[in-house]
Amino acid sequence: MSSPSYPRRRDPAKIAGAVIIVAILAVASLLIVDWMGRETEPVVLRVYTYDSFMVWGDDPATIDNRTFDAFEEQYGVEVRIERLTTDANGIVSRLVAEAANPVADVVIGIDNILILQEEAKSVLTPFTPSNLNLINDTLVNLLDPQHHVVPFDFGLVTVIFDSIEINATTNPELDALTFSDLATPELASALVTENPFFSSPGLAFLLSEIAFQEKLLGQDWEDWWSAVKDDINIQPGWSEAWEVWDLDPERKLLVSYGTDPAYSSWWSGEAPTTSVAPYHHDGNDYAWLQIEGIGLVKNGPNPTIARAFIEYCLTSAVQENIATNQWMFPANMDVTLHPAFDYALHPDDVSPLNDLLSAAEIAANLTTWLDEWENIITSW
Amino acid sequence: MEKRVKGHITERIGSLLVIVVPIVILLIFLVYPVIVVLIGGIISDPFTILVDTFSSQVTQRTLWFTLGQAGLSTLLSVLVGLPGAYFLTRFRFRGRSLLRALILVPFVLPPIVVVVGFLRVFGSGGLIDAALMTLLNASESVVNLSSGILGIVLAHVFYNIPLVILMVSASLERLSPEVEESAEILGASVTQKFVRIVAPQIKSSVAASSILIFMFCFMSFPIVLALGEGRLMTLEVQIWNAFRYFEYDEASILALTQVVITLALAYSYVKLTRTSDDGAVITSYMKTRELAELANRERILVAIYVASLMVLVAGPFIAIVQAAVFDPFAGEYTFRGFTNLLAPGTGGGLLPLLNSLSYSLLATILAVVLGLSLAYSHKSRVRAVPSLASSLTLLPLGVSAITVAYGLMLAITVPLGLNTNPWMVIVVAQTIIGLPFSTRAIEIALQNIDPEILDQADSLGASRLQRLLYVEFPLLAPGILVGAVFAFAMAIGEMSATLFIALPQNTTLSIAIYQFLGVRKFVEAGASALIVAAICFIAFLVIERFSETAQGGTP
Amino acid sequence: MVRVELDGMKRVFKDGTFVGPISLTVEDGELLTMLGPSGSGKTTTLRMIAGFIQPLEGSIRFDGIDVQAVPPRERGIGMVFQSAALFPHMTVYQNIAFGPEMAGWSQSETVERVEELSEILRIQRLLMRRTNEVSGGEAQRVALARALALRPRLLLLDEPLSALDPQLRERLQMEIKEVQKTLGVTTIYVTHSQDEAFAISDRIAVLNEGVVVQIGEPQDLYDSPRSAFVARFLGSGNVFSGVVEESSGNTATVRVGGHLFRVTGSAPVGMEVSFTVKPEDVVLSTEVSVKGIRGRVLGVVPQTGSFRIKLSFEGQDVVVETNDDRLVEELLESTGITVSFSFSETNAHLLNHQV
Repeated sequence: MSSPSYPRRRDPAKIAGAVIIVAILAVASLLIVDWMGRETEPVVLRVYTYDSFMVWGDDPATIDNRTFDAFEEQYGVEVRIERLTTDANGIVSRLVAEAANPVADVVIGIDNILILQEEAKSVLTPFTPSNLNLINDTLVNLLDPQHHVVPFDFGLVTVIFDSIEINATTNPELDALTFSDLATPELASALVTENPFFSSPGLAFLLSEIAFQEKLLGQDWEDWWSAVKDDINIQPGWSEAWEVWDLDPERKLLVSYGTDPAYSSWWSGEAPTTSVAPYHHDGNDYAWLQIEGIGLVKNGPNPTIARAFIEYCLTSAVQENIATNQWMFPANMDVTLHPAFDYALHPDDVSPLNDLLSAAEIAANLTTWLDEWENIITSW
Repeated sequence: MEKRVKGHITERIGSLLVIVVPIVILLIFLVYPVIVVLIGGIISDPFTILVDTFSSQVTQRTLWFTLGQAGLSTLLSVLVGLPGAYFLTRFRFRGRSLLRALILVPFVLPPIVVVVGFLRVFGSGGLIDAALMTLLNASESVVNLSSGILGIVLAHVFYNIPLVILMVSASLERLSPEVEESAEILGASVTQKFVRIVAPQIKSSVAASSILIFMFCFMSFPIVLALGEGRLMTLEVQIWNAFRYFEYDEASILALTQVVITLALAYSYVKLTRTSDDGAVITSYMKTRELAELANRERILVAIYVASLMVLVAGPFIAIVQAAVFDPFAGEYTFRGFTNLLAPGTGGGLLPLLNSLSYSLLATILAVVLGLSLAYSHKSRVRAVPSLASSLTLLPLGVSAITVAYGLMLAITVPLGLNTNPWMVIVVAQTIIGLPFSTRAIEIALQNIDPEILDQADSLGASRLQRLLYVEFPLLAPGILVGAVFAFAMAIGEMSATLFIALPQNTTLSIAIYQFLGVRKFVEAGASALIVAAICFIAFLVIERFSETAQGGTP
Repeated sequence: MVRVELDGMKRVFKDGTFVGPISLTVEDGELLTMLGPSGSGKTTTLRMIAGFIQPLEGSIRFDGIDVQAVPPRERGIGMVFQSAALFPHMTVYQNIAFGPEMAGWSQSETVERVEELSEILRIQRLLMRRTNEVSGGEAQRVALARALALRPRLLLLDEPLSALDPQLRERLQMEIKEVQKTLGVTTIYVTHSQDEAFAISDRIAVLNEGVVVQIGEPQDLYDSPRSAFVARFLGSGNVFSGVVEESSGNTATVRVGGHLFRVTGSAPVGMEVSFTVKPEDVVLSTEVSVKGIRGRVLGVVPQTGSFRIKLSFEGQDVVVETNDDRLVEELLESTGITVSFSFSETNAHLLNHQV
């Protein structure tokens, strides 16, 4: 018979080799990326913040360079803004987990409610920047008199609406909104808010309601939630809530920030269609003041540079970027605001509801309020 | 003689290492971190914490809702999935294997993508609502199927139908057509045939898939978080609530409860799947029919079923595809999402894709290597080893991804100082999450190897290593591939654990989707989701091809 | 090639049943068959010889050397299973070449060996096929070629032909025997079919309930079974039980019921004994004499070249084989009739053991 060419046995060593090569390539590429991202400067300053930090401007890709390059050059360090895919609560959780071996030096985004938690304080070292005089004293004290965190920016949390779909003509109560108005079936079915467990505007809204009902009206705060719980829409976070508000024709009111009209106008280049409806009582407008702080991580690797960085963050070099990238008010009052901010709800326009609830009262009752809220909302 | 004895000893040590090493690895990277989290939180006063937590009305409601929605979702998934399994096994039509691969995609989509797609189809103002509004000429929203328990259950059904179809069709394929034909000859009616012949055959696979679905729904987190609107919570959501407000004691006791329940379920799942293979006839051919052979009435039924399946399963998927190319703000179609993803550079760009691919590839390789040796440990004659191996394999199914991630963070990442770039820990977490799937697939393949073939290799003088490389591994190849693809899909779709561990430089596609959604970059989010789905789809097509070519392998 | 000695080998199973002790010797170049019903321990014994399982007691020697501690792959054996157990992921060529390639033979040596064997077994045209493309008989040929490829000292065949149809089985029996003789390889063949054992064996070891009950050349076993079990199992032989009435020299008279039979063998008077008669040694007649021993015809079954007739006698079955066509015709016309039968004393043997 003609000698056929018999197939050689496939060598499994080759297959194993191929797998090993794939593994090595994957590890190598990761190591290379790791190495390339490694500190080009001798010192790396890690700043933990939340995912949407300064990403709302016209060029989010370069905002870090534009804002922090000057500091990097001056101190010969690399500043790395680590936007964790979470919010300030998540950052505190991470810092608690990392407490034995912290890698971050600075944290931005812990607000005036979160700082009341012992866990938040436990991961921070109080620090009083030498240039703290740039910031309004009231803000500093409202946030944390002990300076675990000092103000970075602030904003007002209130109800907003799309004035094309709903306005003072269709609903006159929007001009002087009360929680009783929000409890009517019509407005309750139009409201989207955020879960206070997962979202700081959601928590601000809960505290606003408590302050308004208990302190201004002397009513039981729980009744309002019992009345609206089946009608309002509660989303886990602000962006989910915004999406529902944007998509769902039924949902015309959103718990959000008083700067939203400014953003709307800046984004469209026209007069904003987004309007604000602060809460109204007895001739006064009210809103919740949220102050976001910057603080020094306890036992962080580079405390000296970190302190310098916090001071740098209070200067106009950083502060002037806040308005049009973060859409909050800069804590530094000397900064000139973008004209779009004319449409925003300004702190001068309202009385902060925070004044009605002392820090001590919030610190003592927050967990109870949240548990009771959870109980009301989940009941059938 | 001397040399031979030595050879035996090294062989013994070798096979012992194969069993011991993965078990030790899992003890270090899975059991230890989980214990640190679970026990650490309650060690102070377990009894009081237990009583406090469970006397709360919220906990009781959560527990009932968690069980109830899981039961309902499971029931519906099975009811909707069963005809699909039958349809896919018994009918020949063009594109069958394509459809099979496609139907598996929802299972591996990150839940956050499912939520977005789901809202856009079933939500108020979504596709169905918009269509109805136009139809009824209504100015207000007509129907909202996405909120509350209805929305949660529907989303779970969408998510889990693939599992029913996959597992039940596998057992239907093993039903010998002769058995069915003889039943027909004996005059069994359609109902009788189903009750007497088909039902017993698929009984255990239906039960197994039900348990698995129940388990997934029991642990459900992002879907309930988004669609439950705070009113409806699973245990997992409540754990997260407690965790975020630093109530570690409550979080731990709830997580422990969850582990106990899910492990009991996981255990019964394994029992069921172990026995289900006994005595099943593996046929290389099945009884199939052409679509054209159907009577009109049947055709209408099939059409209705396929149409509703399309709405339920394909609808959200189509919404995602549309989201990837349609910019709702500019109101125009665009490929910006894709070009942005492929653009090199920091902060997004190519990085998430590269990260996703390299992490999931590494995790897949690890999951397969560990899975192989765990599968072999199941055959070990050393007492306690098989049951230890199975519990370790099942543990990831019973512990939430967040618990695993937090444990890894606390017990591994921070003490070792890996937290400046925790990519290794992400790979570990993704490996752990894919492990149950890779191990199961390999274990099944291992059970199907004829022991005489191995004896044969021995008698032909093959050394143990040669037997492993030239006989066992090639025979295991289809099983390894299936396991690898599942592990890969789980890894690339994984979000909760990765998100917890990752720093920005570790961003994967799944995290990128979440971030894009957070800053309302819908086109980019849609494009990333589509890429994840496409990668998984291709992987499943590969499985299909392989299982088809491997079918005639054993005479 | 090799001389295999089993010495008191015993294996106990979990449920308490056991195989052994088994002692037997397989001579160099011999083809020994282990024959027995299923569950008699033949496969277990074979697997102990191969080394897949370890005996609890006893020893096993190849050419006088104890191989107990030697793993199967180093024993120099070739093995064929009933299922053929071909490697499904390889072609026929790769299957046969597996042993040589694992042993590190050169490509040319391997090809030469595979071609040589495939010529002997007439499977050259199958070499490039996948294993799922060959028939059952071909698969066994391939399995045999594969087992022989490494020139084993000992070939173990575990019911290799049981799954095949009868004609194919007969042809392959001849081929196996031929190949075995050509190569001179010591072979142990396990089967439950006595036809197969008779067709192929140099010697047969009959196993029952885990022990060797008789061992010898096929004809010896057939002609002089030493127990009722062997008689029944080998020849479908008739076994009668009775009491010795009279004994002189090498003949005895045994009373079975009310009838006396003269048989070959000796036993003390009054002892309960059994004796056996092969079916073809029973003579049948339709003429019923008063003195003759009578039985009622239960049925007639045609065989190849003969007929098998079943009678009822004293509550037991007696099988008769005949090729007398006239007789059979008569019987077929009137079933249920009574006939008389007889056999010569030289064809009836006393059995030694009461089993």
